[in-house]
Amino acid sequence: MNSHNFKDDIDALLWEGLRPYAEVVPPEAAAIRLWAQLQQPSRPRWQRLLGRLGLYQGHMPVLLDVSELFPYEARELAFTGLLQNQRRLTLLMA
Amino acid sequence: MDNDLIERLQAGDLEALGELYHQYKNLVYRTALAVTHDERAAEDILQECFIRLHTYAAKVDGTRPLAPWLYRATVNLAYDWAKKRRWMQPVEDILEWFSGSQGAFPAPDRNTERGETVRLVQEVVADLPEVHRAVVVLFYLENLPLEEISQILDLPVGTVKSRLYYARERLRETLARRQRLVPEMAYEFT
Repeated sequence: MNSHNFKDDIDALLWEGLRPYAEVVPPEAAAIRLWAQLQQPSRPRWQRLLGRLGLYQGHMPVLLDVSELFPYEARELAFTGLLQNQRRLTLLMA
Repeated sequence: MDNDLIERLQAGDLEALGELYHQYKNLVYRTALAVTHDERAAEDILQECFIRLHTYAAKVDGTRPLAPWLYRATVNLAYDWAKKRRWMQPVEDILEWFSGSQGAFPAPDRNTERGETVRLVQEVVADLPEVHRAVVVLFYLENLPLEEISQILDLPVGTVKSRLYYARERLRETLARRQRLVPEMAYEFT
């Protein structure tokens, strides 16, 4: 094998080794974290909570009925009033 | 299209940021993940990258494509993460041991020789210094030309080439060692 072909083989392996990354997508909760950070930059704890409530529609987050899935977080968010006056967020309590 | 969205973002339109996020989130996330090999770090970098875009929107040149700006921000954030991680590594190792979590390599098929080779390639790339890994990721994953990588990373083209050469050599040496250990893989490189 000459060196040119060898380089081609190495190139092909590197391309193949990295190819699986081409298919990864961020978790949907990442959009909620970003949105929450923009709305509440000084509240990292709520970022994390909202990140765990990973439901959104389209490119901006919309929380749906999370009370059954995440009862503890839903209660805590409602308690703090974080979600009040947030036009795009809807929290339905059971 | 970037131009219109950036102008809207510069005017304070958060919907424009949402559209840019929708358009570029995969690019930022996969690049961050490929450089850091850490899902949580990649998610944090994704978030911080768009926070920066929002914060520094006025400084972004809307007449130019946004992707190079995002690549540069992503790689710089990955470098910052790597620096912090060097300090935090012992603590994180303990936490990882307790949690039983694994690294974030997209899993190849471990039941085939090809899958094993892909896994080996991923390990070699993961062992590269971050500054080399970023070049490899932009070249092989993002298929960017050398000149563009040079501009994104603010490096001479010659340095980009030398880092790619270094990565290829590391892989070649690792495969050669493995070939000596596992002769049945020799067909790949002979």
